[in-house]
Amino acid sequence: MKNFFYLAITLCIATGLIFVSCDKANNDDLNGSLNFNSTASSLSDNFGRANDIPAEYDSIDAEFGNYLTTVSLALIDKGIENPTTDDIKHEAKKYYREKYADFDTTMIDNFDESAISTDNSFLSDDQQKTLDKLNELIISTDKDLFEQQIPTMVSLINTLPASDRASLFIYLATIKHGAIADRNISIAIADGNRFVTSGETMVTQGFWRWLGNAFCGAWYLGRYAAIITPGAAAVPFIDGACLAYGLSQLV
Amino acid sequence: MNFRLKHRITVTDKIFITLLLASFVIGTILNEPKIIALLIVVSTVSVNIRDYMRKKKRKHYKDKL
Repeated sequence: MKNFFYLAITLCIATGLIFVSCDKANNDDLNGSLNFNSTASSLSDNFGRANDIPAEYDSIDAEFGNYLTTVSLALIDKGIENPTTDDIKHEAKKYYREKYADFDTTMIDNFDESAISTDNSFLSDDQQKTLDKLNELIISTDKDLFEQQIPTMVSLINTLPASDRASLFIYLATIKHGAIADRNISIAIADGNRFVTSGETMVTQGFWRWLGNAFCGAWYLGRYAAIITPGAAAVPFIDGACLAYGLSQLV
Repeated sequence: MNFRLKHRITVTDKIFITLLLASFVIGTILNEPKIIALLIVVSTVSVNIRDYMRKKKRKHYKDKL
């Protein structure tokens, strides 16, 4: 009876955790804890605002900054309608230097301009295909379809190493500068592991996942090393919680 | 006897400890948290089976005595 009680309570907690985790997983990007709902709504809010870019300039960059928006709007402010890669590189370097005094701008310098239209060697074939689709969606007018693709976009971005992300954004900023700026859709990676949209509070990616992994990992290390013995009453609960957490991460 | 059975760290335990630690290192390097999550799930199942078997074994010894 006692065991049944433990089992029932554990199952309840586990089920709850699975639901919460799955819901969170749906809301998050695949690799971290980005708040997807607020991101989507922010994009939704911003999507139709083609004409009020200058008014939003300050607020967009108020929190942390936004690579594409910052670069695009800075170029618009300067009256550059069709920016060259050098224009974008210059603004990108300026932006990063302002944000991080020790930012290594060599990866921006090293970006190969010829890769923009011909050989995007920093992208795999699959990534290139995904990017092509995303580019189509960025310039399309179907808001819902665009928003559906946000997880794919985030996922794609997260598969790239930090240095390639800068390249990707120079690429996107160059090719899609007009479309992106006109619609005030701001997609940015301001740092290697962070993905932000305009006006959003940024959540450090992967922190909660890291915490969960660290806790469950430490728990099982303790279990295997016989530091935690199965007799303790809390053991089944924490085991259940860890199982739920692990499964939710695998889904 | 019971104490030893309960707290003895077997070779299997050591293998799982190694796997768990390795998954953390590899999962972190490859940025693949699913590797760690998989090991967490496997560990849950494995450690509970181990405890169950030990309990069964202890009961067996007790009955024998």
